[in-house]
Amino acid sequence: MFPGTTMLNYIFWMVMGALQVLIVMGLVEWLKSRGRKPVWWQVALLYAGFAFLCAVVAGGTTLMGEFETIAGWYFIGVLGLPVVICLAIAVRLFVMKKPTQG
Amino acid sequence: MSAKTVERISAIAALIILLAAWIAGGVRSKGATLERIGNISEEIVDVRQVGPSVYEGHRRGDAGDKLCIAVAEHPGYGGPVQVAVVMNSAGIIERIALVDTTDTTTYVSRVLDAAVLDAFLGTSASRPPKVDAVTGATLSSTAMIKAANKAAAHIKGTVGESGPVAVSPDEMVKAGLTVALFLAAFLISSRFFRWNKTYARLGLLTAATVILGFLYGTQPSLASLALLLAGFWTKGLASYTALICLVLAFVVFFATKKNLYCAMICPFGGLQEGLGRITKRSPPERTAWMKWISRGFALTALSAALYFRNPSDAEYTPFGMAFSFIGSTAIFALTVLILVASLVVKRPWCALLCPATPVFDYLAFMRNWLTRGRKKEKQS
Amino acid sequence: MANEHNALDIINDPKNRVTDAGNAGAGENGNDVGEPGGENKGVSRRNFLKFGGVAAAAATMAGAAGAGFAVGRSDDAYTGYGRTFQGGDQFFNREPFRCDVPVMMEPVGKVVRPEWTEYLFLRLRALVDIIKSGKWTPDMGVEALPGPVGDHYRARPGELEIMLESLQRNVKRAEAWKKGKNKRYALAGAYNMALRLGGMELPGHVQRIPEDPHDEHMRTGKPIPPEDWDYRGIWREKPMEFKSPKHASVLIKRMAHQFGMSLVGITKFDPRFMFKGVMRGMPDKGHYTWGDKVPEHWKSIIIFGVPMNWDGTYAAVGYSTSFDAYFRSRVAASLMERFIRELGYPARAQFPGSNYEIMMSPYVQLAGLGQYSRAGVVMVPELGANFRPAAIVTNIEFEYDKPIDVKMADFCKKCKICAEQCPSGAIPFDDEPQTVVRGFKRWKLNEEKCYQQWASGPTQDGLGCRVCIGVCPYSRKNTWIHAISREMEPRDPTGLVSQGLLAMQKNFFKFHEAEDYRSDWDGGKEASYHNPPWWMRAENFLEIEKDWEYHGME
Repeated sequence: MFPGTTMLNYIFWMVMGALQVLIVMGLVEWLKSRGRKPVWWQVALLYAGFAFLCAVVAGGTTLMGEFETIAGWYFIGVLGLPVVICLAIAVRLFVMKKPTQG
Repeated sequence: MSAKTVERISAIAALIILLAAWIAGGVRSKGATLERIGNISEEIVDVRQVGPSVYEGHRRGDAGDKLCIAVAEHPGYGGPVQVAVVMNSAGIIERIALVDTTDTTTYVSRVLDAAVLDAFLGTSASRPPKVDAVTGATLSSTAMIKAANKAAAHIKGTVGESGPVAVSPDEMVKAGLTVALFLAAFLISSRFFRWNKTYARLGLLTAATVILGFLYGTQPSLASLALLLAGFWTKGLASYTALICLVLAFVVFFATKKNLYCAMICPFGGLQEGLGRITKRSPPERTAWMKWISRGFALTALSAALYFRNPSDAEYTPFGMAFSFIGSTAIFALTVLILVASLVVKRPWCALLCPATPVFDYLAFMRNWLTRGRKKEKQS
Repeated sequence: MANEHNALDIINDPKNRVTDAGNAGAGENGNDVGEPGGENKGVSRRNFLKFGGVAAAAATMAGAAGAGFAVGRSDDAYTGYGRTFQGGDQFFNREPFRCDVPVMMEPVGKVVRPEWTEYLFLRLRALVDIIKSGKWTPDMGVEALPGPVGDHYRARPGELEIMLESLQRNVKRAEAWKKGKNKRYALAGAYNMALRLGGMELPGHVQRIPEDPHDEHMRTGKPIPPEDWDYRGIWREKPMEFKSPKHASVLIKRMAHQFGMSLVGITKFDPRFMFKGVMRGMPDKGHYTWGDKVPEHWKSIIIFGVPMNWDGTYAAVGYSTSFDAYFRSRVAASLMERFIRELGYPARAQFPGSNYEIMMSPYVQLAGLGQYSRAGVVMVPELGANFRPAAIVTNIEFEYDKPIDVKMADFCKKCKICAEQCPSGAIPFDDEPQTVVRGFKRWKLNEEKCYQQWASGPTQDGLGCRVCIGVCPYSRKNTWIHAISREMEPRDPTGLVSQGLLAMQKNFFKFHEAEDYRSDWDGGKEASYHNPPWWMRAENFLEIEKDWEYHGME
């Protein structure tokens, strides 16, 4: 990915890996600050949704790299939208305060 | 100048602009037809009309090589589809082209992609080939095939009786369902409805989104309005569902003074509202600049559609894209943006860009203006 | 109704504490409602995690986007031009998909070997010779056309007219090239000619590499049967024995990679797919004398090949060429011929453009390299339709590869993009192969129409069009998204993956009208699927004015 170097590729992915830890910890902290208990599978689902969104973006940009720019945008739009919607549903279920009774 | 006067002047101006666009469009399209016939192929020159829908020219460079061009119309999805067939003196079809089509460009390009018309090339008028229509664009391609057949028959000199276009049973079902949805809306909004109105509205909206939107993809759009105003439906349409929907929306509006369509039936509204309910969004406040922007958009697009006599060219509504994936890349981007925005703001398209809002506003305004005047007369 | 939260707030609010007035600065409270504790201590752990998490998420997404783009554009994606020599470009694991008979190769009738006249280039050359010799002129009609060529065209009404029209269009094409196209396509033309006349052949159709027995025959005037030619230069008394057929296969395949070939397969020589009346090296290439003899030592056939350069192929017609792949395959054929003969076995190269006694496509399928397609070009998993093979016929006992079924031909049934894009409409639209050709059901390419597009394109020598290859969904570079599709599609029994991929292909990827690919004097726009790569754009390097429009994806 980084022409002319041999190490940068590995360093890039190591940093990406480290960032994921920060993301999950931040997610847990955010849930706590919203008054919700961070249940492990909920956190896992939210993170998985985010990871899938990143994968969709990566797929679209790969197409753009292959000079298929329009296909890339359509890829992100059509496959990303359901992911965003599912994430919204998940946020509603796991994060937002339940509607008060009465 | 008070706000009311501004509104009154704009209302009249809008009417004048639309009328002017329509008239100018009429002038433009007559001269354009002959030019477009000639432009079918660079090889054909000296085109002149020799009969109703029949033209004659000759091949470039060879005055003796006569080429005959026949144009036939057949109702397509967005209005009549005109197909021109170029035939040489041996009776072989050399070229087929669309002269004038009001079908949505993507529908049409899907059919052209399938080279439906190419099946005619090289055949003679006496034996038109069997061609399969392309799924997803059925109405347009049927129209084109039939038009090509008619054109070929023209050239042979045996024009069949153009009888009334038979309406398929599928269309009857769609029309019936549309009427049923509006009846339900009427009922729910009336004072006779005793059950929970909120749930009823949501239920009807969901049903309409599924039926009119995902199942049939016949939501009325700006193109339908332009179709209605331009009178294309008089020449025959392949599907009247969108028009029926539009007309009923207006009828119900005048009868109940309420815009039931937007609230209870519009499938794209249903889509937005569904998304908004995931995140419990509240509707944005509708400021003045938002009103005038959507009015400006609607007026410009409508005028352009009337002028170019092509309702689908000025289409900026994302309905076709959201339910049938029909439309340009720009419309696609807009649709994705709106759907994502629906998670953040309630019904963003309705508030900011939808032409329905200005149209209903306009109708309400005119109604108030005119009835108030009459009330005053009555009183005095 | 009192909210539990509010009660706790009152209790926990330091202002309500009776003990010390003022700020207790404070330790962590049990529940937080987002109050940052200890602002004066700097960024709290909580804030670091929250905002750091958001920043990390944004960075991850940006990294994903950047990585994706870099992968898409990286050199590694250009299959066939990287890991080839180590065999790394034949990366698709074919073993789970082996079958006994290639898809659509079950005979439905009596299998007949093809006549030499069914090979368009041999036929065309013969026709041109007839016209040049004065024996026949077009106005005499197809009835008077002499010889097997005449028989061929009489059996297929209408095709001679198309071929004659193609000959005329060739003239127009050459004129258009001289008048102006040689400027726009200067680099594409030079690249093409470099490989053709600088590599493959000498002027006058004499082959430079490999040697062709026909050239030898023309030079010496003597007939050169395969029993002489295929054994030329062998100095060993006896051929060296292999430890086993498997050893032979492994070695020869490795040598094929070593000679620069991306893909290689070996199969038994099936004489059903050999032309009748063709043997290079014999007088008139054996058209009138060879008949249907099959040389005894033709036992096995080794097929190998490479892709054409990717970005140029996507810019068909004008910026593409077959010859970079042809040249590399021919070099490998020549090298392999010699290698095999050095071990003491006979070897004969079958190589492109038209130096064959056989039809290549069936052997590529029999060797398990790929599958039959709608356009008639064999498609391989690694390269799609972008595969230009050559072959060696020999008598070594190999362990043969079996054919594969990766559901590519099933995809063809629904896809039809090549048919929709073919500028001459030569590719059939039938869902299933319908036409019975020599005993097999095929999607029969209308080769006369296809050649007419070759003769009319904006190229220097009119030797190819290649739009179908460029637009085929399988012809893609090697990136992870295509690898996922390639591995998932044939393994999915429900067909949902295939449907999903087809839907994405049809809706996300935009194509032109078929006529747009044609030359501008032929009713087209000289459009291309992708715009040409930077190194093919003459206006980037030469002093010419760009007076044309590009119609294509960037």
